[in-house]
Amino acid sequence: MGVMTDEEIYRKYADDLVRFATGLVGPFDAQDVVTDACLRSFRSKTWPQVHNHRAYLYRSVLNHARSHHRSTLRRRVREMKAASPAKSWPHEVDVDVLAAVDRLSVQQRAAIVLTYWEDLSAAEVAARLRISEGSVKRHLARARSRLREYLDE
Amino acid sequence: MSEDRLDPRVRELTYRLMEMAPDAPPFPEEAIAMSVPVTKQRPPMLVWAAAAAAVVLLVGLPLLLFRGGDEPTAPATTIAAPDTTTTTVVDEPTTTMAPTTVAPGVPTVVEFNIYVFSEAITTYLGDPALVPLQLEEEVPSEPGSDTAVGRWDLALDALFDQGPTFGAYWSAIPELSGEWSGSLDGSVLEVDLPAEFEAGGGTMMMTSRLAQVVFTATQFDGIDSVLFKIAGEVVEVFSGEGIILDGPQTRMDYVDILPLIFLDEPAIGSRVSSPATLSGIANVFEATVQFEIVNESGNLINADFTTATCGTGCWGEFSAQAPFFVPEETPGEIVVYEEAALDGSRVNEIRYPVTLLPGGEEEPPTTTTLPTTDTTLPGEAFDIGPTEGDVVAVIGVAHDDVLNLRDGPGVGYEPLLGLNPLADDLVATGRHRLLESSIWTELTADGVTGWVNSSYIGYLGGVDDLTSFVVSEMGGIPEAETMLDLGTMVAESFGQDEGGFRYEMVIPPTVGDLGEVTFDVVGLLDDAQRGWRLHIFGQPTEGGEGFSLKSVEGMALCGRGVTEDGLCI
Repeated sequence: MGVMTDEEIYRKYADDLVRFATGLVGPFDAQDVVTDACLRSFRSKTWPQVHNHRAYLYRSVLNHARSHHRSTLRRRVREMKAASPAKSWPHEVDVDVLAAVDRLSVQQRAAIVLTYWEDLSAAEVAARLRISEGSVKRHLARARSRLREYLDE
Repeated sequence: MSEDRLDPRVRELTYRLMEMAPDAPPFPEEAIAMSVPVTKQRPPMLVWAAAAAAVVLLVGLPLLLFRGGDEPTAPATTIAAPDTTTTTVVDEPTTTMAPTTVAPGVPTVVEFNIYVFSEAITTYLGDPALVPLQLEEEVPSEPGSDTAVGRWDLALDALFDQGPTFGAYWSAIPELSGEWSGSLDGSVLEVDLPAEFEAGGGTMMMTSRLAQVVFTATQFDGIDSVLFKIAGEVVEVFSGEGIILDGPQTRMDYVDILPLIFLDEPAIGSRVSSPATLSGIANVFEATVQFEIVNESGNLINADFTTATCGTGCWGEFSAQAPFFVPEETPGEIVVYEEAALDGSRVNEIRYPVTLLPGGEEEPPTTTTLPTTDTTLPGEAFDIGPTEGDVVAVIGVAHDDVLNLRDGPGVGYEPLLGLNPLADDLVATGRHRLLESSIWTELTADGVTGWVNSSYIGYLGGVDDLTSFVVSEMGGIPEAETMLDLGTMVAESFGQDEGGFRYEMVIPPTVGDLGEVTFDVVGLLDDAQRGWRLHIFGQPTEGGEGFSLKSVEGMALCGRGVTEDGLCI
């Protein structure tokens, strides 16, 4: 196998990681979370020994999203309220979708994005996030019931 | 699963969410210095060597001249083509890295703090509070000067260059197009700023600006205060807000914009090795500052308290040493808080994200203190419990408590780690001991192996909707004034006739459109199912004076294991 530089690895996965992060923390902070997660990974002492770069980076993004979620929930809610499509944001902000996703924990969001967007099976999601398959199914079940609850309102 | 995948509404929602995704940001510049082939080892002290190597690739010089330490250098043939990897490093100071000169002109990494505001951490009035944020910068070292210390010029430059918002932090300092200069007169740093520094309005904004400069400058030994000048003139009245500056400004002039416990070291984002030094100033009841170090899994790896030099209405300094152990570099948090005089609850808590480093004085506790053979352990061997490799979770521990992982079976042994009440990644070794009145199980968490009381661990099973069960048990839809009360009522309804029954709130209430709270109820049913983790949802009552039960989801807490379908074995 050829050796990839950090930058090549980054280019290969950055788009997917940003989409994943958007699912976890919303569009406003997705780029920051990905940048932080990648920087932290590249600087980690264990990085040179990592074989599955993609899984490692996904977990890193998830971890950063979790701490991010805790510290900036208040700010995000404010941003969401202030968001107007007329602003310079390149993509239209779908406030309804953000409100729905806001009901989920970060792990539940991860399970939803990987299952419905990346089309992974529960076993594949479990491997990607290094959690048990049972946890994946639990996260999915709860996430779906909360989303349905929202959709039915 | 297949049926779930067909849920088109959830799929559509996910797609709409994905459509909002922004473009990927460019490869982070900070990583460029590290951008070498990933098979190459990068000892942390040799960051500059890695940077040099990247530049060498660009100019095509032999890599061998830059071997960092004993690590084998990647063979030249495995290095990726320069055109794809190094085009962005042209700004690197290549001239300072000529391969024949290594000592002078080699960049040194200088660490310093800038002081910025955090929305997540507030003053006693609820305004955003000032916090230290660690940055690092690579500078060429100059012969005869100690570049690693006292670089107030770099720190202030970084502060003035920082945009108004970055991540979860923001700065009150406007963009300065003019130059600033500084000179040290004894312990007073005279800072001469362009007129734009006074631009804008708002007393809070203006005070914040001054405070950021004062704190950033006085982090360095030998600088006690800052004398502000605008365009060469000493400032007596600052800005249109008329803030009177009575000579050089010290940190104590700006304590109102600090959180009541101001942790100055370690700074947010810093790399912390054991023992961590925690220091700062605090204005807390009886001068007592509680602190914790929490690792990435949320487990507690040190908890202690220290005393400030003054308290209950005055500001005092505090400083403490906190040893900890992590098996590898990991994100973590330093937490400081005060126990409320009234009820012992946590108040004025602040949390700083940091990186915890392995090594240091603290050896992995288990390798030295854990009794290794069964004959040296108390009690008797017992073969009922999680088998080797099983993943189990903490159950029935309150959200503000921890489950101690101890260095032997029994409460007489020292705690090695405080397990998070929601920890669900504990790996059993398969060893158990039966003591007089308890069973202890050996587990590994975060690389540390120790013992826990087995009544506080279990397997997480499947989720059931228990709403109708609860409603029929309670004879109607319960209502309560708060989510805490509602949750307690629901939890209590599970144990009406059970002897060993108990319940704990494992996630405190959150209230949005719906209220939510999570309780563990344990000690009921049988050995297979030891209890439930209840996710309780309430909706505001019509009058808006309380909550009525909306739904209860129960996750089975199993004692012996879980089937594929999430049922307790």
